[in-house]
Amino acid sequence: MNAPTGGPRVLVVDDNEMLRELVERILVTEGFQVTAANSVGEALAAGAVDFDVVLVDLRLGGRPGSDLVTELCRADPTASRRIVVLTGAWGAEPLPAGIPVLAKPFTADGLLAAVHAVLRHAGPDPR
Amino acid sequence: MTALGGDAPRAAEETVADVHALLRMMVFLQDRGQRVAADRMHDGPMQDFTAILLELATIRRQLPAALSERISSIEDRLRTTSLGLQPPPNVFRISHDARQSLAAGLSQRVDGLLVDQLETDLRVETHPPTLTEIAVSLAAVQLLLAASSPHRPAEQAWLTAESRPDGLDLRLRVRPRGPRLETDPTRSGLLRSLADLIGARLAHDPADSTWSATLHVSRIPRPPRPPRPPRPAADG
Repeated sequence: MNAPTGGPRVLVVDDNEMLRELVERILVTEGFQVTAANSVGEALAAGAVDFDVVLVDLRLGGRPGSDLVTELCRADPTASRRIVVLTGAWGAEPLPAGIPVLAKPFTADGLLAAVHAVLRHAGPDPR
Repeated sequence: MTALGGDAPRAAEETVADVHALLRMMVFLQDRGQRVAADRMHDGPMQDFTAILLELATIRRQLPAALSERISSIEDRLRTTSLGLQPPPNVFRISHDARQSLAAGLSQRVDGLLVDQLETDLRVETHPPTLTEIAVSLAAVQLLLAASSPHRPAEQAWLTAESRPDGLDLRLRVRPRGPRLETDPTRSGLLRSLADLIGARLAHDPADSTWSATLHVSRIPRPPRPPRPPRPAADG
């Protein structure tokens, strides 16, 4: 896990190391502060509820990403506005209504658009 | 199960119920297979496609405009192609709408696979069937079509499904390919045996070379939900 200084804080939760690093690289290039986690446990330990944006893969080794979504929404009812679910497993896991889904495979432009949409929805983009 | 004396109709009903339970299991197994295929697609190719797309984007940003546009167009094509490889949505997780689930099941597992052209008339809004009844119906349609045209899709079929308080009434009319069914004892025998087994009534219409089957899928009581196992305390 790392968190360089910069703009809005983004938590990337994916158990695929290569994808995690690529997503992180793209977001850091765009000025985001990125923290990466490979499991629900790591994400919670990193303080997931405090991030501006949480990108979470649904299919993780161990607990599914939907568990993280549920826990964040329970801890903070507004958290659903800050979450983007990454998945290729269509309709595999039930999600609270209104949470955007970025379907794999996604492009860098799609990723950035999703992150900016969350920031716009949650409040003024601080950058 | 053997029919004895006056209990014969009841025994026959029980046999049909047992067979319907097998049909339900057959479709749920198909569903499980589809789920595994979707998971494998997600864990393998879709992760790789995403990684390739993100790598391309990283490279694109360092290139002059003309080359950058070409890479961007490659990204778009790659994404479109890979999306086309996604398995269709799971029939039983699409929604709680019976019509949508039944239509999706027929579209994914019958139309184009077991019959070249399927026309449907689904009247399931009142007393909507449960997913279990939809599974039994899908399996019955699949097996009837496969029995009448074992080696290639039937030419045309018409399916009417109408839900009632006590279950779902199905009527399937089929124009098979190849020789007329009544002149082919192997196929017609297989179809008759299957119809008997699943409790369907068969009829032939020599005038237009079609056969039809009517079947009632009885309302199946929902089994009680088993208690959910406790969640693991830590990540596995």
